Amino acid sequence: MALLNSWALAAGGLALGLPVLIHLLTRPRPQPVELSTIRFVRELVAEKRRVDRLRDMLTLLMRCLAIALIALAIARPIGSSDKQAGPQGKGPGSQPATMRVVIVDVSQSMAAEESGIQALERARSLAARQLVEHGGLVGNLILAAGSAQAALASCESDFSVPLDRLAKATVLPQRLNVQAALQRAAESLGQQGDAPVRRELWVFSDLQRSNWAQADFSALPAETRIEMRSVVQDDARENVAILRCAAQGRIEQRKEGRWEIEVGNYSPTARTIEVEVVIGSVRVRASAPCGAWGRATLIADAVIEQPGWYTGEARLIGTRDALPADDVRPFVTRVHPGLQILLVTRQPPMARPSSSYFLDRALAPAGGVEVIRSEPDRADRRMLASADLIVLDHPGPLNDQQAEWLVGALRRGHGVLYVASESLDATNLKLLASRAGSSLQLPVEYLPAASASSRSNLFLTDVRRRGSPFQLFGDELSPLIDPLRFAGGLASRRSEGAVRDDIMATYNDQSAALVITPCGAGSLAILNAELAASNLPASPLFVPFIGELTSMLVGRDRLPEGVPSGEPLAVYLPGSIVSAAGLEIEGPDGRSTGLDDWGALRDDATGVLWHAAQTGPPGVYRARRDRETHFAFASTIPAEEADLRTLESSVFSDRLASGRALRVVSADESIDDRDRSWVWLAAACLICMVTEWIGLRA
Amino acid sequence: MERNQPSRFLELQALASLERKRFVTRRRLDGLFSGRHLSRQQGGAGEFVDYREYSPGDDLRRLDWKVLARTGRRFLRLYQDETNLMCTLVVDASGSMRFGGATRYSQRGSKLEYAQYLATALSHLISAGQDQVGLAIMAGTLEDYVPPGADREHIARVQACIENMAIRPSTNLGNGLRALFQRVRRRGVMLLISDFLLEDMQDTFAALRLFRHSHWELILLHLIHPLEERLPDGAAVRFIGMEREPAVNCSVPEIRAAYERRFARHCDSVRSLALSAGSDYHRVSTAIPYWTVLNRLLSERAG
Repeated sequence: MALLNSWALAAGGLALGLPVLIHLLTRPRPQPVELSTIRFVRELVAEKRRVDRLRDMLTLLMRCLAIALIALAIARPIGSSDKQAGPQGKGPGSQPATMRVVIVDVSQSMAAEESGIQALERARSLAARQLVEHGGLVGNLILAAGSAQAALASCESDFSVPLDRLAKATVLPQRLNVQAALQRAAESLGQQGDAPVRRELWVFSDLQRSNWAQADFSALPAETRIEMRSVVQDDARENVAILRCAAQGRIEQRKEGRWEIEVGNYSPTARTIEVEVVIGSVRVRASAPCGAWGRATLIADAVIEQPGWYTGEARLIGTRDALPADDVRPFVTRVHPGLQILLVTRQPPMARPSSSYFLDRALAPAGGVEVIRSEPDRADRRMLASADLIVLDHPGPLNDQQAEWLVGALRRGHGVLYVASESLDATNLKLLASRAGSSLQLPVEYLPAASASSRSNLFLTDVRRRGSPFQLFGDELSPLIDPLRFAGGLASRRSEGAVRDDIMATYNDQSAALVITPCGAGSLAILNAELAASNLPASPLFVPFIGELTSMLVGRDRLPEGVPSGEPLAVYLPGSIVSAAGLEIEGPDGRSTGLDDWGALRDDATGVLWHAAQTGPPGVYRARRDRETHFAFASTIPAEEADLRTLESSVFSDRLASGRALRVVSADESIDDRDRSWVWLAAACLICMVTEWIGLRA
Repeated sequence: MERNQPSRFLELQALASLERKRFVTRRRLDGLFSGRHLSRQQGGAGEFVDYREYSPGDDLRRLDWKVLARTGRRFLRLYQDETNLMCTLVVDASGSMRFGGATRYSQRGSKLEYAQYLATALSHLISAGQDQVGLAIMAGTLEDYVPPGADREHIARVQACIENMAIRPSTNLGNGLRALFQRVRRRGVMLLISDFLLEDMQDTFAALRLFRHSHWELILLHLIHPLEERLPDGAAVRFIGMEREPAVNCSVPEIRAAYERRFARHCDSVRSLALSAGSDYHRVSTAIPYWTVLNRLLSERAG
């Protein structure tokens, strides 16, 4: 017999002194009273004394016994249930007959409760029965969540460490990385080489559909017998969860911002879901109906007065479900001051008409937008990093360093609008593409025009009406673009394997008129025209077109919408942060720690990278310098864990088994195997307490 | 003994309604003086009550000669003498009589105080009927004794003794009664006021039977304090004896019911012993005013 929680015995031993102490401390302190009939009392007390002594001893015994039984019940003595174990008692030094690896799912979904009992608790007791030492058995335990943690480096016959790890195992706010767990199990099972040994893999999990549907057991040795034990009795456990919460677009101070909250209703009944969103000191409520087994997006609008980093929380209202952990979701919002646009051009500001003049006017039609003109030579890294949108118009030849800075700004989420009008621009764009490498896949290759005459009187023939920025104009688009005539710009040809959807408009000569393509966290838009030679600036379409294009380029929130807990972390800090020096990381508990606890900050060519092998538990993490937050992100519970539906057993055996002997045992069948010794111990403890009570009453 | 102040236990206003009631005996008495109580003597000076056939040795002076002449048979005329009452109040002053006192050193509310009021009132009422009243205070033995008397000074002395009565820690009522028996010369009425919480009950009643065999009329007033009938509340109590008994720790709820049964059995035992000894027994609760008890006692005895 082994003990699942051996520490409980030590605690019980200490607690045994407790009833004795209680017995002594609760001895009545009699109140002195004079009594004339004391001889009667003495007679009665003498009669009762013998009975009382016996009763007191019995009471003390029952108390001690009750505590000992409680300690034993908590210690969870377990006996082997293995009816199919290999030959036993071969003696020390003999070849192990059975090699067994036990995987216990400790992902977030295992925190779901049925009848007040966590799925992990069921898994714990069932798994412990497979780790009972007997001759011929070696094994290992793997606790699986975002990563797979093995209790032992290799399979061993001493299960004290695995049992200790199992007893201390807690649910982690991570998704189950099934493949990592199976890979780790395969490593443990494959360590004996080709020796004739019976290999077993026991999995104790809720067999969640979202995790196990992609399981691939082919990594395991071919002769491995796989036992999938479900710990879920009710396949239709109801759960409602917040799956995503993020600001919609760019949030600016004193302007109404919008937050999207995506909720999932993983239950067979439709319901109206209400969510409270807290952003700093602002509270907003939103509600929406959500169908059965469906999702809905709730909208919360709020106005934030001051710029800065705001932490928030979305919380379900009036919901009781199987998994309360996902009813709350943290998020981070950055509230920006007014939009800042850097216009990089060689054209003098007073030159009218000129392409840069038209752009300058169109970019700042009203207040709240600051356009800064800069000569290309003066546009340094800091200037590029501080702008929300960089517009390049007649920039002349860019050097390698400038191209590097621009690519860095793009990767960190800045928008870049390149107005390609000169032959030099083809070289610049090629330079940018080469610097960006694989992160920038232009759909076309720009070439200098053969002659100026070939690039005149161009008009738009192919426009993606349903995509931004043309979607804004709706049915009015055709009358607006028909009179447009363009001149200048670059010739282009399609790149092989490029995404055609990035070409938003094409000229009648099949050259690209407008290309919008992502690069890292930002977007690059290329408007292929000489504006001064085109009638676009004179068109009523021009200002709203440029405005929509600007919104599109800067509207992408550069913040991650929430990094799943337990997943690898790699996120660039905003471009305004040029160095990791002096930055410290603050975890969800508000405690500033060494950089290794919640990841590390590293300077690289693109900017400052925050990276970690695993993202920490749910909460908000900040990068601070001098107590000022420079960047923050929220670690969240992976949305996949919210769907508690289980995968059907036939899918395992028919599709996923990869030819292995696989058996799925449902929770109902597992109950028969379930260790019930603690129940009997608890019942015996109860009997002791009742006996004590009766003894005291008698 | 001269006393200027009446006893503080003598409440004349409370006794005013009882002034007309007289203490009546149920037996014939031996008295020194003529009185209103039936005497054991049936001489020739009293009231004619009956005839009795002559037997040799009878006083020839009481022979009814007229009947002899008329019938030839010899009958004696019987006359009932009336005499006065000699009543001895015996008060138990043992430690247990202190029970019910407000404090350890105050007798207010105790059984002893109740007995003092009762004995004082009895002495007053009996003396008002021209009867003699004596007093005996019992504890370990006969602590104090005042022979019966009827004059005002004597009554004052008796009441002063009652007022100044002090508690003695030990009790042996049997010894005291035997000592009293040796000192009394004439038979009469004994009113014994006690709680009968005695170590040796049989010995006490054996002593009482001495008096009974000497044709004393015995009236036992058994004092019971309400707090004796039921143990005090509280989970754990250390009971301290009032007559030097060792203390006892106990859990009251555990013995409450048994105690009540034991106390009831004690009261029944006292009553049956008293009745078997030919005594008149009265159970007196100290919760009832003493004049009510007296009224009931006097009315009952008057028939």
